[in-house]
Amino acid sequence: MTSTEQGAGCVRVSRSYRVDGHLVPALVHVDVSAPAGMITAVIGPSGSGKSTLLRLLTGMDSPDEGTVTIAGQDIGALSAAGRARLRRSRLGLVRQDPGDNLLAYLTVRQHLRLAAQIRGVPEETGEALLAPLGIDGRVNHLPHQLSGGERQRVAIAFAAVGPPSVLVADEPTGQLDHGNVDAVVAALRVIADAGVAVVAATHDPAVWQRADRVVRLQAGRVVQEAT
Amino acid sequence: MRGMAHGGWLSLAPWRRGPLLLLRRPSVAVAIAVAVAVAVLPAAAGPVFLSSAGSATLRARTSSVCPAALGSQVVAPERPVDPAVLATAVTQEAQAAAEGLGDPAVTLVSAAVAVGDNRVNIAGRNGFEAHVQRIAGGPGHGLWLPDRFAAEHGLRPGDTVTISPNVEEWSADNVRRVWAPTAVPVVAIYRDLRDRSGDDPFWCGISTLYRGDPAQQAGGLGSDVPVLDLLLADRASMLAIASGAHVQTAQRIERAPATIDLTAPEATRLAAGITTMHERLRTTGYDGRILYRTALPPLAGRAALVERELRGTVLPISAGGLLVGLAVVMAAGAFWVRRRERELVVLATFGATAPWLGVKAALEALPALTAGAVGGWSLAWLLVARVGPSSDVSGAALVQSLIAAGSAFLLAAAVLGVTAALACRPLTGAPAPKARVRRRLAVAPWELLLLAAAAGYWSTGGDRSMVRLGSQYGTMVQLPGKLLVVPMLAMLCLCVLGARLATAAVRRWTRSTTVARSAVRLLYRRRLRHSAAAAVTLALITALPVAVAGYGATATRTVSATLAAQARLGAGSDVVITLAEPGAIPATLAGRATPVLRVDYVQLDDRQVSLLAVDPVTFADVAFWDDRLDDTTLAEATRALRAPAKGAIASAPVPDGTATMTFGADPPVDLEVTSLSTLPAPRGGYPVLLVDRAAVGQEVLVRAVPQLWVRGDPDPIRAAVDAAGLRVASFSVADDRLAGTFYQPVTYTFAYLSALSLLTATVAMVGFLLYLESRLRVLRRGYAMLRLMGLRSAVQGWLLLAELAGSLVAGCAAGLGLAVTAAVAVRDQLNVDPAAPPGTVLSFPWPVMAGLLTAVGCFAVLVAVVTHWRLTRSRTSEVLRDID
Repeated sequence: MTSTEQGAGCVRVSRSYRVDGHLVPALVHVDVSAPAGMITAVIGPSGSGKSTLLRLLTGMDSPDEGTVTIAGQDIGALSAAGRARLRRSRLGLVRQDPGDNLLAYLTVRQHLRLAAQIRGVPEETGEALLAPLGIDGRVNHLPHQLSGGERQRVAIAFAAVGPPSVLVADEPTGQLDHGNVDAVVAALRVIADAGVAVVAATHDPAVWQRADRVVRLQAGRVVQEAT
Repeated sequence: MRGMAHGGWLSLAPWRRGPLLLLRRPSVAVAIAVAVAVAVLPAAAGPVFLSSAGSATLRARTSSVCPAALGSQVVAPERPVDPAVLATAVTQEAQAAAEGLGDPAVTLVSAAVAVGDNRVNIAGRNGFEAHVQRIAGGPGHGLWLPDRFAAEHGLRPGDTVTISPNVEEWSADNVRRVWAPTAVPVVAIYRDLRDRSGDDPFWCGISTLYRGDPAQQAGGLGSDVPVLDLLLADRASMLAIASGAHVQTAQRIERAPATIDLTAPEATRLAAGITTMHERLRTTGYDGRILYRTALPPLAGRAALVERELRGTVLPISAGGLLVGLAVVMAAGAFWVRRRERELVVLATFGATAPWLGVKAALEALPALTAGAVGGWSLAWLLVARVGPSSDVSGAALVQSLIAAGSAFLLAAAVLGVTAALACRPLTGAPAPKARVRRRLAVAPWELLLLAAAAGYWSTGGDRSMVRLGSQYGTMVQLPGKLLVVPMLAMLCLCVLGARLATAAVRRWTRSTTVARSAVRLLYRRRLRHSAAAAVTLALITALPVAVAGYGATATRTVSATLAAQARLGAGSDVVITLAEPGAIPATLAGRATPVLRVDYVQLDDRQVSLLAVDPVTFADVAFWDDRLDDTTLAEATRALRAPAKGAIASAPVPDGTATMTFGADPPVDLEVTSLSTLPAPRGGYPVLLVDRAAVGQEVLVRAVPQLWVRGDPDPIRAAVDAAGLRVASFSVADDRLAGTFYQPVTYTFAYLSALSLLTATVAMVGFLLYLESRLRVLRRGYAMLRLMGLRSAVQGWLLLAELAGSLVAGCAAGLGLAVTAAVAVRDQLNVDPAAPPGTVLSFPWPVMAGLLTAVGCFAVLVAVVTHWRLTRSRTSEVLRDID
């Protein structure tokens, strides 16, 4: 199996939405691949289709046409339950707001155990990620006891337990200062180095400049793809 | 693909710790608890209310029946068996078959015995000494004489009376045996039982021995049969009289129920037991001339009938209430998803499906659901106990109520879970319904279908005002479904239609391009426009329950007022006291009592009328009257009685003009008659003739039944009459005419609707809180932003008050308007007995409505103040960073 088959990919994917009676295209015949072990940055102005692409990659939405594959599986061919199973075992998601990624009543350790239980891996697996991410001293803290950067790194660890085949991050540094951005990008690199295909939608140059691949979207189309 | 750890989703912390999680969000927990209480309340109230109605029906009937008659009465007319043997048999059979009977009361009765030149009744009842007022003499063997009898015949303790035998025996050669009279000593004098206004229940089983038979007296036939004096004797003396004086002696063995506070099922069981006991006595040799009586079976049967027939109206109301409650639970489920969206999205990204998120919702809501179910059941019990027909509820009804509450609880949990699961589908990436379909569904005026259904139901529901059901236990009135279903459907339709139109109107108004005079007005308009649908929905969920509550309360009052008016018009006044001999009005009743002389067989020309000779000065103030009758006041009408010419007032069909009144030996009197459609206290269908008591002849004065008509509560009136020493033949309370009648269940049904008022008010409150909670985040941001822009906190407070109170008060006012309209529309149908004057007395509960409006206003102000206080405590920086 190639690294692309291990990762995520879109082939001729289109998606449009109806707004006030008009059909507005969000993605038009997009081809994107996110190989395993690499960070793929998806960049582009607001409204270019980044979020739609991420929703399609996480199986939270279905394309009008084309195929979306995760670890070699065509999401469109799966039932709702199949997509849920795929998310459970193969996908991780980190959202922009650090508060949106964690459960307020669980400590860091409990988060990691929860993820391990869901993914059916030993409970200690998650804690092994803490040291590389620099948050090993915070295992018994609740989310509100952590800083924004710490929360986002815990969120990355939480999503990466298993590990999944693909980790999708939507503006992971959007609410962080420079110091924390570096820590988060480093964390993503750690995850990618573990063989996970990391797909990050971002405006932040600090992220896409350190990505392995960059896909630029504009008006729902891929206008540039660089390695 | 890797599998989940052993135990599945339920073993994971978000599910396992679910029941504790909602405690972190008390507002959501409270909203869910109240929503479930709203669903459980009507479901749980149905069975207990039906039982309560059955108990009330039974109580209304049993309260006027002697307890001894309710139990077992075994009467051996002429001692066919040994008294002791019969008493033992009755006791044994009662123990075997009829559990729930009290101790036996054994009475030996010798009726119409010749004592000297008089005929008297003699009775010996165990323990009678404690139930008479002894005036002279003391214990011992012999007779106790009533004081009037003793005074009339100059008898005192120590004297003897002579009793003549009345047993006829013939010798073998057909010669009649003749025994000599027997002298029996007098041992005591007691106060005549007839001189006591209220009967001691101890005597009620044999009250005919000293009061005569009321059936004979009331019917006129046999009213000339003299009522005999009652002489009392101890058991030994009675047996001596029976055997030694050769007097026929009957034996009565009475066993009253141990308690008369019976529920309908208890009464049914006891009645069946008594019937079995009597059957067993019959089949074990105690038959022949022995009479077995009990009044309980028909009363128990009637209570069961009422309970059964009320199901037809009570259960649909309960089902409707349950549906309303479940709708609120659905709203609570959707609300839960909104408040827990962050966590749900996290779990959805880990592959949790919508059904598992629904299960999580149910688990999280479990404590709130349980608290709500317990609260709803308690509230149901409290409602029935406080505002229901009776607080006596059978054990079976309680069990049914618990089962219903449990079922409603499970249903609510399921509805909450399913609603939450459906609301979670978008979070899990499930496809949403097509926008076009949603849009079309939203604009379709489906509420008009409700109006069509209401019209159809009305037209097919017949034109009878009330349905009378016949059975072996009599008739009863059942509230026709159209009086419930049609107004509810129509009000729902108008509310939804009004909401739709109001939303459009608000949007149009707030779209206005005219420049607002102030920033506050501009903000108000913008906010209203932004949340037009929510504001109108809030008004709608306020209007609908208020309309139901208002209609229910109006219907209750109207039916009650109409029945009360009919009862008072039939009785004459609140209380009508028939005196055994003329007496003056007690000083404490002055101003609210009037003397009336009643003669029911008077001739007016060729027509028989009921004559009421009244005091023209006080009659109009005391007698019941409704000004809608003949469009005149009674004071105005009775002015004719005071005229120098002999004026009189008669009810239809007596015509206006001169008529001649004749009665007995009195000379005929020419009267100038003014005719009215109806007058108080008609009897037997004869017209009523009112005349001045000063103008009637001597024979009328002698033969008329003296009455006192009094306005006010019966208990103080009874006390005043007792204190004045008046000899009362009967004490008639107008309201008692309703008790036990077949009209009663109608008021029960509306009482249930009144209970529903509380439920609907709760619905409005829950809806309001849900609305507010869902908007709190937006309000916080708005508050913080406007504070930064320099808008003062107080101004924002007023803005919030206007926004919240506007919807609530508008909804409340609209609901009250709908209630009044609905009640006016069906007013003719709210008359249980259309044939009886004075017709429907439409009675709006204005104080209740004003109270409701005030309460809603106060509630809105309170919530606005609390919400504003919560907003002012928010830290601007945190709110704008959305740290929630």
